[in-house]
Amino acid sequence: MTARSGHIFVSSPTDSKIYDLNPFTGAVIDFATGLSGLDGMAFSPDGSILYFVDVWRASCAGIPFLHRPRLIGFYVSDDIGWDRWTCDRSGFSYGLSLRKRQRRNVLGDRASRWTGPPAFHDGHRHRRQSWGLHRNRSNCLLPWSKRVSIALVYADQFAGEIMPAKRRLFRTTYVGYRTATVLRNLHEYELQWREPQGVEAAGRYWIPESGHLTCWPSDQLWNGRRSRVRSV
Amino acid sequence: MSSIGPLGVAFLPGNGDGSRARFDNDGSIYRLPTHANGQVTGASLSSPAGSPRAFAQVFSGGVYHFYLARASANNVVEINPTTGGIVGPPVATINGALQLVPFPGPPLAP
Repeated sequence: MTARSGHIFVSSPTDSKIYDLNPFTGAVIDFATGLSGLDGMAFSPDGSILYFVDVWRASCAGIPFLHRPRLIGFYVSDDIGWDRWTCDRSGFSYGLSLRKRQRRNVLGDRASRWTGPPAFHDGHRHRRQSWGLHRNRSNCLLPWSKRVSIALVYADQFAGEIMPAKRRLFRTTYVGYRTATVLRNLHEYELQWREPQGVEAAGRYWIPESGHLTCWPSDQLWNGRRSRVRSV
Repeated sequence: MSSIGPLGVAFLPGNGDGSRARFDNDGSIYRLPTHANGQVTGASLSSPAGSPRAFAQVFSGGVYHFYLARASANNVVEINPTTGGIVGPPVATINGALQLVPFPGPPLAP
């Protein structure tokens, strides 16, 4: 296992930092600095990217674990009427689903070796609960479903929704209130949305300005270094 | 229950239905033995001070260790999953500790 296996990453909006904590020794080091509005975080399933929420900018971004100066940024806003200062995207997590083939994390460990929190095995039964996401701020774990592959989702505190921030191989029609499908890669920011009330049931459209997913330059956060957006 | 929260979720091992401890910002840790609705009443284990926030759990030495961020106490503490009490002195002092995530990330589905 890697030197960081078993470590806990701690967001501190007070210090605008993400800390790397070894809970067994108590050692704390800076992992990322200069990040205002920190709240929820989540590692990608392969451990390669640490995603975090910036509640002040109503944004989500990710830090490649082995290449911290490069920031994967994307700005998420689904309602133009919201004030950034009140729009809170806090809980943040990856949903898991059926993956037959084991994958290794970035440092060569089999991801399955980590015996972390159990995935949900009875699928649809848990959908309604969604861990109390209405007006909550907790990490949300997308229910186990054979139809969902990987989805990065966040809890929207004010809307009481589970919102998709990014997903790949997404084939279902349900995640909380709205759904989106990545048609290409994150680079291209093209999503298909379907409203449950049937407003857009007939077709697809690119996310308009009232609900867009665009590149978020890293210059604001990383001392002028440019980000290189990529898919994972 | 308060207007926001729960702020953290952790899972207790050894139970196929995924029993979980849950924390809410009214100051209590709850143990919810099943996925049934309406279990909060009577499920409170403890009420740690210091504005508790997120949970994290780390598997080490054959057991899970549960950690809790406490924002106003500016630290991270270990939690006894049975009693909800704080185990020993704070693990670390971190200003405004809010969210916790363990590395590596969540496992892919089996």
